[in-house]
Amino acid sequence: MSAMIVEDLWQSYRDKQARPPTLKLTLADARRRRRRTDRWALRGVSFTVEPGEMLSVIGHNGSGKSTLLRSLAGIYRPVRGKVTVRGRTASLIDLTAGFHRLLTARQNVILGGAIYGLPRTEVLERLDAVFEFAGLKGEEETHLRAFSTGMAMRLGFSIAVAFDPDVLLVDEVLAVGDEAFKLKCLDKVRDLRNDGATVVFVSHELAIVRSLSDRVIVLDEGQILYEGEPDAAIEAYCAHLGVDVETALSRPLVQQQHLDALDSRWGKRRSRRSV
Amino acid sequence: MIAEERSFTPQTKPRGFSWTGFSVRAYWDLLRALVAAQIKIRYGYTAIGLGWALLNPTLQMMVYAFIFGAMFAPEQAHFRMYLLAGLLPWQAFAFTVNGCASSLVNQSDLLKKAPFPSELLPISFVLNAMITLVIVTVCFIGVLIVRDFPVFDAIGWVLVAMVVEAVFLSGMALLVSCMTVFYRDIEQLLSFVVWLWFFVTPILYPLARLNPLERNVVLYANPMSGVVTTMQRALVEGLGPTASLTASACLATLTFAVGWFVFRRLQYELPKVA
Repeated sequence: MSAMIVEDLWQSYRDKQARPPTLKLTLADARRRRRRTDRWALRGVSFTVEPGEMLSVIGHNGSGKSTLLRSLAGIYRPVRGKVTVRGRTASLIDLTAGFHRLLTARQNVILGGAIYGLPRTEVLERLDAVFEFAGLKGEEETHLRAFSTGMAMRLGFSIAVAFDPDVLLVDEVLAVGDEAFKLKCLDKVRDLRNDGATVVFVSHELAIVRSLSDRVIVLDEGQILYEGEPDAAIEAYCAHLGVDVETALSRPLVQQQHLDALDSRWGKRRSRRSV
Repeated sequence: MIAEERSFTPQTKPRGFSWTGFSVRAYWDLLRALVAAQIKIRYGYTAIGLGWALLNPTLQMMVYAFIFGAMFAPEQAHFRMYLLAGLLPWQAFAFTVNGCASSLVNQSDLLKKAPFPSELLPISFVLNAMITLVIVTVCFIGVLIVRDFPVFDAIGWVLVAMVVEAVFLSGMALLVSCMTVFYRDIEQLLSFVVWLWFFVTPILYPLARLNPLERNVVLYANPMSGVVTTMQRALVEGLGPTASLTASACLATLTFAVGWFVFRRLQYELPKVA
């Protein structure tokens, strides 16, 4: 039995900018019932994920990766199609959302756990484990306003993974904190997967994608461009973007594009060092 | 983290309390966590904490008594106590309606982070306001006992009035919070609406001042009137409620039904739009 089945999934967002700007036009358009303009983020995506599989989703910015992950988490209801997910799902989407800087770290963990749907007793039982993993032991009563961004994100990651999820939805969040913690996070994801958890992983870091995943889906404009083995998928993706595979693997692609954009804007070449 | 199979289609309807498949335990635990967090944030960083909930209406009462005392005090026995008995439930109303409007808009990141019963965000404001109201009313009752008012003659009606207010506020909170996501104008409009609403609720003036038509409108078309008059009569005079409380209870139930219905219809759209 598959852990996840996505059948012909369509998702759209309302485009507020496309609304007529004046009251007169708004009224006129309301009469013609043309007020809503939809921007499609996913157009007919279908795939299945087997239990214990690690699937990565890559694609350029705005290709629909995050929308897909939120649909899998059940945050967005499909506009068309059907999504089925089996098992206890942890969504590592926005790690620090819902944290309040005027609450202590401990209070934030309790609130965060409750938002994931965990009973309070279970949260309290695993409180020590959460702080242990985040490397924040002894900081339980510190208010979050005294934490650095990285510390808060580590705490957020630790809450999500401390409760043995069957399905893990990871959105770009392994860019958490310093290198040491990043490796620890990757290890944790690998451990959960070795214990049988299903992982869907969205990332721009192609090197990580290649080393971790069993299968890769390349999204483009809300449709599946390629689905298959990591190496072949990365090749297809790079060919589509017109980027050299070796270059893309040796450094984060976003940073690369960013530098290129800066270069063209300032009209001078910067010295680039690979990370 | 929900331990069951979940399927989502465009036709998926909210089930149980919510569409997220939270267990009843997890649902209450989330509500409790939200309310606790809100109370800690609201009062934990002030020097006198919950004292503000008591001080605010008292200061308001003193200002109103100073300005309108000469006009209304001769007609209304115990004018100051009357004012305070009305200002306490009013404070809960104003806090909830003003506060919950932005409760979903401000938490758009949270709505996109995980599937959870988002109706608890506005509902936590109501609970927060009601807990404050109960504490403040107990303090007020203490003052009334010391000053020899017949508090205990009709104390049960105070509880009834509070339940009616909680139902009404829940409906308002659900309605206002999700409508604000789609029409941001509502948040701006509300401060005026709450201000106007204060004057069509018999807190400041004796009802005898109104002509019969005005009195009927105020008493039977405004859900807050039944709550306020019941609190005033029960606490200050030791009397039972008038028919206005029945009208309030009906309007409160209706408001809750409408709020619940609208919220459930729009709930799926909130993470995308907010």
